[in-house]
Amino acid sequence: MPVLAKSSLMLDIPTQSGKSEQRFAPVNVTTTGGVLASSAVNLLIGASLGIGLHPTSASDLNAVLEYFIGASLATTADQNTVQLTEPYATTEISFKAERNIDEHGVASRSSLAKIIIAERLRSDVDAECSAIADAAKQEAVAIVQRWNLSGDPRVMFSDDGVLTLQWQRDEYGVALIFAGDGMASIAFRRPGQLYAENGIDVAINENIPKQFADAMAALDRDN
Amino acid sequence: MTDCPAEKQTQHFKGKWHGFGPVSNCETVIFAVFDTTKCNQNGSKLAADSFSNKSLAINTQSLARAAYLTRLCFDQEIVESGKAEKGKLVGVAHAKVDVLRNLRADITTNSGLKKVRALCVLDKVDQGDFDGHATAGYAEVIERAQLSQKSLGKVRAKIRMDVAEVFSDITSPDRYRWPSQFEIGMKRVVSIVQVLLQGWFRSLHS
Repeated sequence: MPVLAKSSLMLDIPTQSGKSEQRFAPVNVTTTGGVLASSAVNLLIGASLGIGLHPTSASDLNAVLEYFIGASLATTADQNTVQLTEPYATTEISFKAERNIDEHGVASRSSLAKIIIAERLRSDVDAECSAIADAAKQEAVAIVQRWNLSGDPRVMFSDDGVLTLQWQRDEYGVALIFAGDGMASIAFRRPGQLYAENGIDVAINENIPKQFADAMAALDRDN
Repeated sequence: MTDCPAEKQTQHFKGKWHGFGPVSNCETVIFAVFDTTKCNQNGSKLAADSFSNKSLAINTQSLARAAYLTRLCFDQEIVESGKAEKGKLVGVAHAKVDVLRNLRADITTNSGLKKVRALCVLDKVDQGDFDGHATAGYAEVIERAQLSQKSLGKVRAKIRMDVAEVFSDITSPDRYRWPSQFEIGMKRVVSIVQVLLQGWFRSLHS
């Protein structure tokens, strides 16, 4: 199997401080049939993917690649190898592939969605709660994309897998809380009123509630 | 039953003759911020994830009672002992105990929406802790409400945001007026007298 690229794949991960971090490490890219831009490419993951991942874990790898290219992967029997059913090949080409995703009709991730996915990779969630965290992440990404949310919220996974997105300025704030149960809890912070004393629950597939939209608009307006 | 029954009596591991007694509402508690402590975007204030969900769930989120801690004790017992695990001290944030105890949370039970105490503050001193140690934890009433794990997680997430809200900005410990060793000694005497008086009143009533 010819090795087409063997390099340290350093990529920019957006962080909550607004800066990006150079993370990730060696990814060896090979093709199954030696044909670039063909249908199947194996990514052999190197010694370290950084940010506390176990590089041989297929689910972590899936999350990494989901973050970068928004594609889902079929794992092979060999847990070190994943088969990517898109024509991505060398490191260089994988960057091109990111641009190609739109051409192939795969939705590109918003920067906030990328931050959520990256935060999940970084998060220290109890092992027994990782399914909750993964479900919460999926729900948050879905809502962020569908409601077209942006801004610079604080993104927090707690050890029990609950994900909180918190937009706040001084005494005004709004938070979205996900626990992978198909419902998003929305909590508001206003002068004289704190987050735990109020709130509404909305189903993940519902449209953006007026109270939430108003609160976000107020935060945007005052910024 | 009150929401935080453990607040009414000392939680010092050696019993009522030791430490400074239960934390009173007029006290101030201090949260030490280290290199590894998560803070808000510009690092000026605590954030919800400054607090450990796990520690709050078992009432072991460490705080210091400002009135019962000398600067020397703070430096030795908190800054130095925390350095290895948490990095160097960045600053401290403080909160009034009555404000922490007034935090409320809405929970939905079978009987409808209830507003309950969110947080308890205890004078919990375990072996190896300094006498001015305190802890915070989610109020027992929330744990007793039999919420599903996911609903409980959401309520707890909101409470942590509120706890972060009521703490002050992070400042240098040099800006505090720390009590002297003499003042702390006098307060120990006062707490012993209080225990004596409580015993005396109790015997009068029985």
